[in-house]
Amino acid sequence: MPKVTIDGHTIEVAEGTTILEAARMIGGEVAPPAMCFYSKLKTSGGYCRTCIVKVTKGSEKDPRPMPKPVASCRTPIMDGMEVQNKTAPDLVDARAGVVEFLLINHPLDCPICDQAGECHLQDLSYEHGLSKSRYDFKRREFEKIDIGPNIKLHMTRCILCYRCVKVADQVCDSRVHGVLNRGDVSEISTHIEAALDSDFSGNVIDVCPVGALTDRTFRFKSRVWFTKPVDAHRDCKKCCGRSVLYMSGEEVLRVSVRKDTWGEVENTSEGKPGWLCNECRFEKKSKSDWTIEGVRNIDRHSVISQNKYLEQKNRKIDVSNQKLIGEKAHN
Amino acid sequence: MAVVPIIRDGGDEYAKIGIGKSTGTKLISACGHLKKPGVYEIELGLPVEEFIYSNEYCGGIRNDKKLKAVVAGGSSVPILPAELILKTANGEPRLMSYESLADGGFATGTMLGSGGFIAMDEDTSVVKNLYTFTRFYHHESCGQCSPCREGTGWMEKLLHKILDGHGTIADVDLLWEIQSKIEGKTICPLGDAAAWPVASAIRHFRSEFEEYVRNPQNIRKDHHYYRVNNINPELV
Repeated sequence: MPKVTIDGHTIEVAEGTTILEAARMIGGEVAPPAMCFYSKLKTSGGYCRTCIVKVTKGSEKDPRPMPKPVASCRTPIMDGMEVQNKTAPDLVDARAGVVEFLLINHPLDCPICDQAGECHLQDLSYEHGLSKSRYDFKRREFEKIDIGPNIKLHMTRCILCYRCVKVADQVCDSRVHGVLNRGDVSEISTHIEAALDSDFSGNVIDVCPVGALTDRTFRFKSRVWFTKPVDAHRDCKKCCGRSVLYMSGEEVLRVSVRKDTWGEVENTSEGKPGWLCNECRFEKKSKSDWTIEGVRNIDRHSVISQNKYLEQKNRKIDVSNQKLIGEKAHN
Repeated sequence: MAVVPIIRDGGDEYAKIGIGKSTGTKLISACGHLKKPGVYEIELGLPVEEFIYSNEYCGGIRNDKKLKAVVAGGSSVPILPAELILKTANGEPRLMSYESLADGGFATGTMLGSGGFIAMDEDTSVVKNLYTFTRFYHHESCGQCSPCREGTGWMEKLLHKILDGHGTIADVDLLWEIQSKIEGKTICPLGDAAAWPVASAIRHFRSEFEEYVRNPQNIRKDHHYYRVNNINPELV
């Protein structure tokens, strides 16, 4: 089995494992952030470039370093490979550049966005972004559209990760949406604003790393950090029926899939991704529909629940170059 | 044309043409402010000076003006000022070959690339030319990966701002930063292709960018101002 060293941690992994998956096995700070890669969706990854890493030694056979940073989600491990992620300052700088590109056309409307508090882009920009935007032109804007009765598409917030397109391809029966146009005017759409007509279309909300696809049954009801997430299940013929309910008192505000540390859907006991059907997600909004298992511990997926803001209190802001300089790496 | 001698004499004989690793001939599409622009088949290793000034090829610069800069291998390769395209940084004559044009790396060299040869005379504005290139790459970007999708548009907007007379020195520095953040971070080389012309224009012609920033009043006398803003000058 090939061995790989990432930031000084050596791990032995199966043939064909990507650098990102190996780094996630090590866990913690070693794992690069990923906005578009989703291990449960085939052919995802490679678009956002936030997971770039520096390969300082190609392999045991060919020890030459790779000339450019590589997307760790798409690069398979070679035996003896040595990879730098957090330990290469120029790479951290390059990643900050990618984050800045993702943010220049993002509206930064977190105060009114339903995704705030569990948004990957929010986490990412908090870790890598500048405190002030250097982009002073008009941002890209789109009209909000309803794709179906339950899903709102707010394209202005989209970072074009293509995850929802992969869900439509691989989880739903048929695909009725995709990416239109090209370059910085490309957009996710159903072309004629048709509804997403599939039993599993609601899963596009859960894979969306930002607030571009939101649940219309939950929009503006509450902030996620005010809700109480509980694990629940029910018997469903269409899907696995395992979910997280976001409760407020006795009321079920939102139903979502169970997500792991990396914000991806958890596997069921049969080893399949636990996607939810639209009936469970949008219609079963009463506590009596579900068997409650217990309080859900959300370890990564909410900025607030992780107390990130408290941990980073001792960071200093260097006003001269507007960069956040950490006194110590936050854990 | 290369095919006929290869079939007639064989590949080995054909490979004797040229210099070093650059063997054979190459079609160069020469355009810009040349007396005789056109497509020329040259033997690799021909001195650049001969290619520009000899009557057999381009015949010199139009209206006998001075050569200012050359983009030697298509719009994506670094632009070089006249003194660096005619002679390398070591003072050796620059040849039309892959190695000689790349001599000095990107600091003082360029690439032969596709052979799209663009010559510019002394009246040309490198900044305006760069704006045209950057607009092209913004239009061409497919939008799949983020550095190229967002960065090319940003660079175009910044250059438009500078050409519009609203630029600052910080914008020129920002332009440099953006190109360095795009280069090498994208899936395909279109990101690199968009970044290199910006990098080289600032590297070799920074004073010209600063001229636009410092004297914005001169810009408004310029016909180009109307073109980039889609204003018909006759109506003003």
